[in-house]
Amino acid sequence: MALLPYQVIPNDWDEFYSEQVQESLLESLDTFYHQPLLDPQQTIGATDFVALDIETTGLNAQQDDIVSIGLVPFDHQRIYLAKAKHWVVSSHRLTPESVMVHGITHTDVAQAPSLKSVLPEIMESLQGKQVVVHYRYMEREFMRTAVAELCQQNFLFPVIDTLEIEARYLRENQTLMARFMNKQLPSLRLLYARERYHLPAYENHNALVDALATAELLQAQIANHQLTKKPVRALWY
Amino acid sequence: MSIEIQDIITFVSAYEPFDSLSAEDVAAMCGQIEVSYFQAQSEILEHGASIDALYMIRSGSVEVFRRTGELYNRLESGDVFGQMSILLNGRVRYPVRAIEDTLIYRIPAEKFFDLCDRIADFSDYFEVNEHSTLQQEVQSQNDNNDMTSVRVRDITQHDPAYLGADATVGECAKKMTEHNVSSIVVFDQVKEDLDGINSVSLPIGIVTDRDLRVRVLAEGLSFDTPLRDVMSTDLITLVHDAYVYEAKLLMLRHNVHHLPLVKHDKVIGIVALNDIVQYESQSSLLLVRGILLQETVEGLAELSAQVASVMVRMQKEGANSHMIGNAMSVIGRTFKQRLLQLAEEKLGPPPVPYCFLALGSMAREEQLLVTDQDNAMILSQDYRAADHGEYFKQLANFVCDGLDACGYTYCDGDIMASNPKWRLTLKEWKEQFSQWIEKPNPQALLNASIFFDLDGVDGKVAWAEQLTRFIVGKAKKNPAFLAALSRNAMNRTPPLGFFKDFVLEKDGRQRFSLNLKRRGTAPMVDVIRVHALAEGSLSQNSFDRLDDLAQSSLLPEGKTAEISDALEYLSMIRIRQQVAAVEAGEDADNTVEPEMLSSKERRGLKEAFQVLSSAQKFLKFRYTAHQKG
Repeated sequence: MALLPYQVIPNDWDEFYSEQVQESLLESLDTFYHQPLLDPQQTIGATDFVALDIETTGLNAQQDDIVSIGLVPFDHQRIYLAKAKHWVVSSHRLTPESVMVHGITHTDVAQAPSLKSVLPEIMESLQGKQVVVHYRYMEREFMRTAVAELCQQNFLFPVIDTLEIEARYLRENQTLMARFMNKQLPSLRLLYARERYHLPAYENHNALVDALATAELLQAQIANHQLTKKPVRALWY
Repeated sequence: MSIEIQDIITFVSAYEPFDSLSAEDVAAMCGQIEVSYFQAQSEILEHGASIDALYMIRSGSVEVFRRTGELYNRLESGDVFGQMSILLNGRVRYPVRAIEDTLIYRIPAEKFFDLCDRIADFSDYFEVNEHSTLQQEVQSQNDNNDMTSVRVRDITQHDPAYLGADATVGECAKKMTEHNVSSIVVFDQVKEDLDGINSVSLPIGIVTDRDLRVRVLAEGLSFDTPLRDVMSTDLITLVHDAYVYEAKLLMLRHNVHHLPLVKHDKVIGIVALNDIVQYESQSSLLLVRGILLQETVEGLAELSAQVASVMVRMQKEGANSHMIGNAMSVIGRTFKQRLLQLAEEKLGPPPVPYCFLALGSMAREEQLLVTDQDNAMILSQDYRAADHGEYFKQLANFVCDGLDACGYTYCDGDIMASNPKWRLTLKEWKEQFSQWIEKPNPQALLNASIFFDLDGVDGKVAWAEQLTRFIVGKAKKNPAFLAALSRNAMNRTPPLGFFKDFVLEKDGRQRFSLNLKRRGTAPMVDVIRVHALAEGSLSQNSFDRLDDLAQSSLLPEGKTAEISDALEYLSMIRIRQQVAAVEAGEDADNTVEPEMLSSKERRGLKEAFQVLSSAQKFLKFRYTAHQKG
């Protein structure tokens, strides 16, 4: 099957997964797609999540590289730091600007393993879990592009996007007049979304801390918007 | 390898007690944290829920409540809570609610215990010093129960009796009798004011019943001796708004039974140990009343199902083993008394007087759940087997069968009043005890040790007291008897190598478990009994016996307190296990599966077993050293 183009996601995830299983894939990718997707009835309260965050050399998945990945497993009650993971990976596209943002330097990257070498472990950590991101166009597109470049295969999965949940509830709470006037929503950035739930601000940003911040944000959204009984698939993107 | 999140490490290490940890320890601990978000007004910890972590507030704030719903504390960012619950039995004692949106760091209990074990500053912060585990544990039992919400002045009689220091002991005894009190406060000079009590200075001493007995009568002092010469002067007072448990702790700490309550430098009352005991025993009163109202054995048997729930309730309320043992024994005695009344209604009044005896744990007021019946009878000197034998046989059978129906199962060794061997006249009992004491045979004594804890339950209870005095008087003078009893008391050794060669018994369910009664409390009680008999103590309860021993020089300084703490700890673990079984709907027993214990509990048990072991060694040295050969 052909590669799905940039920013295009399947209409039917079940169908997409069963198609991928037919393809001759990398072993780790094959295992990944063999994990069944969540049951349509499965609720948020009964789901194992994994928050995913990446740091990159820039904002364009087609031009820039991933330089680090953070994964934090959690459920609606607890975030398990003991099982969290963090990688810095090698890249040739580090720019002074990106170093300013994430503080990962040429020296760090020089000693780091390649993304290819850690991909199997990343896939293993994601499989069978519901992936959670804050702004899906970064994490999912970068992962997709990286795998497509490395082995010309699709690497895609349904995500829960805490930014999308935030936008949805902010929009719902807008007055009719505000909506009519197409008034802008308050900031949806991770830091500001967290502030609305009185979550603390973190100082030292990296992929791991932001994955943790995303996990905490989803917990807060679940508690505040009473989402535990909701089917996970209702929040899929 | 665990990950490191600098932000969490920086936050955690900024607060006590984590600021005393090394960078490696903090990092390793932070890597194990679990994070949880709680919306404002949501429950974080519910009373009685299980808890396996120390909670630290990252952001937000919480309120901690007493079980009564009273606010106990307000905590915020950087504060920790839950340590008391994990240290005790892993059940939440103080419920906690978020008052703002709150982010919690949960530090796993295993990590917490590991740090407590290794780092003194850390454990000091939580007051879990290795060397005072027992004392801490015993004391913390007193936290968070009804006693923490009741103030001592509410259970105290006001307007204490008082006298000047120059008053005589005769006047003192008279005044105490008039006021029906067990203590009197002594002022340097009595200056009556409008309140009728000295308001210018604090009392300089106190005289109690015990002082009159020990310092006046036993010393043969004249009744004209001024109080100044016999009073206790190192007066320990309590502020008037202290809680009941504080009074109790103070009494425990200083080994006193009376505390003057002080308000604005003025004594407004004296709280006596008795006031506290009375206040605490109320929970079992209802059941006792119920027992006395039953008209049939079936009714009694039905009611006996409630015995377990009384114990569960008392344990939840934070009662200590002494209180629980006492309440359970009172309940057991009441069953016996009611059964005897029912038997007499059926069989008619007894042809000659008798005294029904409780033996073993009930006599010691140390009864818990799962106990068999041990009892006997003292018959009048006018007893004639031919004329009266049948009546007492039927009476004893009725009571013993009834007790069995009520859950006090028949005694394996047939030490029951239904056995004609144990229905004797006072004279025959004295002969029997003389034989045990004067010609001690360890094997015979093994089965007879239970007779050395005896108490009258009904009928001519004065005969039981006479018998006790006879036994104590004789035992004291017979070193060979004490030596034999000591050897028996050393038969059951505690499992010392707790982690390595932890000696386990296979219980009925084929699981490996440790019998806390057989390997712990029972041998400890045996040790205490030997000392008590040697000292001539008339007390039956082990803690009372220890109190008597503390007044003597029989044991090295501090030894009785150590034994008392260890017995209390072993008993409380037994009680907790029984309560847990009752709550889980299982049959309570006396065993514990080591893997079900927290490392903290294991440590406490280990220490208690050490105390037992050294107490047994001391027994050998004290009573058997000169008996060899």
